[in-house]
Amino acid sequence: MAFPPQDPSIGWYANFFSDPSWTTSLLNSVLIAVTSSALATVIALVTALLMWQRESKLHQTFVGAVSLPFLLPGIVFAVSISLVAASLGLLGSLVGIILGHTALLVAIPLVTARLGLTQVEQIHVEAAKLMGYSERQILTKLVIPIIRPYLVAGALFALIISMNEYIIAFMVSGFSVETLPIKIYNSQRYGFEPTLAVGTMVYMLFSLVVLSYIAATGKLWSLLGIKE
Amino acid sequence: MNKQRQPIAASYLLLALYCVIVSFAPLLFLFAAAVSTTDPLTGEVISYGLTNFQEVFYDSYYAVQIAYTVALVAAITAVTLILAVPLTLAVVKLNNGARSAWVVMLLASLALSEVLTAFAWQLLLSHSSGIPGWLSYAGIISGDKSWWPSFPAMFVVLVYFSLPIAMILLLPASRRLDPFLKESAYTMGFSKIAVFFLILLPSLRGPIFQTTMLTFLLNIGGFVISQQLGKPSDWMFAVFIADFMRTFNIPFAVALSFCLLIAVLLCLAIANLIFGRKPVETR
Repeated sequence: MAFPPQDPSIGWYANFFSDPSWTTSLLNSVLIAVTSSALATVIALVTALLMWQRESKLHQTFVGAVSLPFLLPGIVFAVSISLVAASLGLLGSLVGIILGHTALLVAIPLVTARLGLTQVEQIHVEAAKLMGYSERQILTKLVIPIIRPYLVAGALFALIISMNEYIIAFMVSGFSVETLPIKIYNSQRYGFEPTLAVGTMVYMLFSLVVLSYIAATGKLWSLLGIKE
Repeated sequence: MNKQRQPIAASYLLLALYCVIVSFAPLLFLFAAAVSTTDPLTGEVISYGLTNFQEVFYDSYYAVQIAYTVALVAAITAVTLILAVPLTLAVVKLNNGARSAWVVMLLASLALSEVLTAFAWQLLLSHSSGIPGWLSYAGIISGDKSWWPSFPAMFVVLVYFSLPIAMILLLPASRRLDPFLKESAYTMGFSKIAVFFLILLPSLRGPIFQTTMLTFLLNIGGFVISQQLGKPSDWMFAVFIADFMRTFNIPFAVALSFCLLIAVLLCLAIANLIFGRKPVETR
């Protein structure tokens, strides 16, 4: 690399998208991120609904236990989940990384889902009951539609973080699966080439697009706990 | 059992199972692996004991490294908070459009991996394509040295990495601050500095404490930035853990992780004891 830049072109972009080692890493990252954010959102939704309007110590313990991986120092959780993955025979597999990422990420959609549930007014629930709705109908026709944008935003946050996560992926991958952050890290350490800058740009643009979408839906402020 | 209650009971059961697998089992495995000695060839557990911890504390090296990491992360957290509080208050004052743009930027950099942040800063601080190269090209500095690896580079990047997180965590509380509080203080003749230290900071005491804890936690478990931008003598404790994992010295890496976890819990408990109490209200 040199300054000032010489012969500017999009050659490195072409190189990135035509090199199978880079595209495989990108696809692995996308697959892991989509699956783990979807799983994390489902688990968060179930947890949030079970905890909704219940404030006992047992329920608080559930919320704490589900969020614990997010609150542990990154390296400590990565080491410990790699031990679990090894005992389950998942070390070096995509499923192992998905398990680690799901565990880490549940806390994010859980926070947004619980925020969404604060928007469900008790009076509406009572009205639905008076109209003869069953608990399932109240859930599917009243509660879920209200919290859907919060769930989507939580899932998108989780997706971005999973795409970027390195430490767990590195510990669980066991050198046999490469996500894009692992590939970028290895390229940095064992021979620098500007193609890895393209990987970085792809990620930054992806994050900006997703977050701008959340901002455009108008839910950004309430997701941050701010009433406009 | 009522038919409608069956899915709820099943959900509780599944959730409890999930908590056991992802929250309790990892910690249990961590503890079990830390106190086990394995056969280096087969990986099978030979015995249980404190051998790994005896190796960790064979001399003071790792204890010193933990203390250095805790002190470094405390300093990074302090600098981050010193920058984050006024910056967050400034962002809150902006109009809606500008504020949204800032928040999107903050969230985007918050989500960015340590790997990408470290790489971007390596480019920025390298002589071949970054600031030293630009300054050298403009004739402002001479020499052809990059600004990394070095302690200042590592410290600055770790603060940069923590700043968006701290700002996002402080944003809701800063936004909820009652503007009349400030107006009243100005009317009473308080200066801007006095308002900041006597009105705004005490009002944000709780959120600042929580942000400090989370920023500390987030940084103490990271290793990529310190390994990529610091010299070996500057590396944080997590680098040793990662290196021992890489070289398959797993029981030792686990014992180090366990020591780090204990150190972090101790720090959080002490911080909570000293700073976590609510101030006594006076009439």
